[in-house]
Amino acid sequence: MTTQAITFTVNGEVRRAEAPLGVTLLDLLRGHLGLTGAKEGCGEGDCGACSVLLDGRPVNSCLVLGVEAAGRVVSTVEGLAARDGRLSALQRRMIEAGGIQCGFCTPGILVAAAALLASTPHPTEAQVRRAIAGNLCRCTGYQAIVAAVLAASQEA
Amino acid sequence: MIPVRHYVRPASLEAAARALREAGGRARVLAGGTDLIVLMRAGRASPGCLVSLSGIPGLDRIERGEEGGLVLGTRVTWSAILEAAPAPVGFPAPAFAMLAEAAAEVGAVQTRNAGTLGGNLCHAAPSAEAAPPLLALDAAVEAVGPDGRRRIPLGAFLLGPNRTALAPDEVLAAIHVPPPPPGLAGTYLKGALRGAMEIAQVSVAAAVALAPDGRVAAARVALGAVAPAPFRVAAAETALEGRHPDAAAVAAAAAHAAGAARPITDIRASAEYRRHLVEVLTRRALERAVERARGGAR
Repeated sequence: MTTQAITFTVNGEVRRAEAPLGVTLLDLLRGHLGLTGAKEGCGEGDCGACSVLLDGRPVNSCLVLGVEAAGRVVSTVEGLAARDGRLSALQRRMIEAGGIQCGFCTPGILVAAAALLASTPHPTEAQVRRAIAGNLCRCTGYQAIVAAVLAASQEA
Repeated sequence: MIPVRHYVRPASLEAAARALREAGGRARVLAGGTDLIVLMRAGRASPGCLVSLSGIPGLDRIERGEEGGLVLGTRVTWSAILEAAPAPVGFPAPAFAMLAEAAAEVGAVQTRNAGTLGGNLCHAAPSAEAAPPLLALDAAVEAVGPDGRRRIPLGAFLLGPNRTALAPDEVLAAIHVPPPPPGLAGTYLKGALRGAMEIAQVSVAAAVALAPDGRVAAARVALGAVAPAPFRVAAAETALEGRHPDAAAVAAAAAHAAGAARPITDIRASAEYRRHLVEVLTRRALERAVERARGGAR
């Protein structure tokens, strides 16, 4: 199998990986770097479970070739908490609000919401709903998730 | 694992074109990947070689073009369009609004961050969000091949579902938008079942410029998702030009648009519903465009 050596920044650390040409960024993170937070749901860009931040912006990592991440900055849900393990306000509020049931969508929701709060610290409810429109949740009905993001924004 | 046999990341458009030529028509250009990677994962595309544009500098530029027009690099993302709005590099906001409103309708933020204008046009879906506003703005695309560059009017570029006028060894380099007629104001409306994550049942870009006496000096109407390729409706435009944009004139233009549509029935809508929607959305879009051209709030 043809591979290509790539260097990129993942959650603040410079990482090197031998990326097979056809590996997705998602599989590179999960299978090669052991970062299993991002999940594969639909595999076609509809569900958002694989969302990670690429240069600070949410993308579906199942649709990004690993080799295309060379030289770029990737952040995953594993990078949201502080180094000592203290959760971010957003993560804490998600737990408190019950925005998590099965948890499969949660890593994607968290990075999408974190990107929203980074660019728009005090979003409206409509802005929150729009920011997570590409993240499907089949458990919660979204109410608790939206409430959690809004509550986290109050702490900013 | 996606079946990628060869992957090249050239440093210039000319090198990309050479790589395409060497692959003898079996290569595909990779930009944001939001269409191509989906097709490859589903086994609906299996190019022998991927030619990535990610190593070519400057393809994400939004620059002032000749005489106040606009140049959009092929890798400009939907998010970049939204962030450049309302008036990128001095391009008139009421005209740019069509493209910005279309950008806001694309997928979700994940798609808008990765997906590019060039990729959207080259994928050439009948519902391509970029097409109606850029047609209404009289845009042309710049193609780079191994033997040089050429410009293709967008209307001649979009040939049908997944078909464009690009040769197998040409790369779409940029989109050129000429300066719009003075005062041109437009809007983009999309018919869809949900407020996000939707492919258009019908899309309409409409714009007008008004003369000092209130008559229509220029009209633009472009439709998406109701024919093999998005297109301008000349009959709707001539029905408005030189007239006062009153209810009757707008209704006549909308009727021309519905008459020009050749919709199909599919999972998203029936042909009959689409034709009805063309008339309704064209009327609403023109009403809003007229309001904006008069300096109204919306």
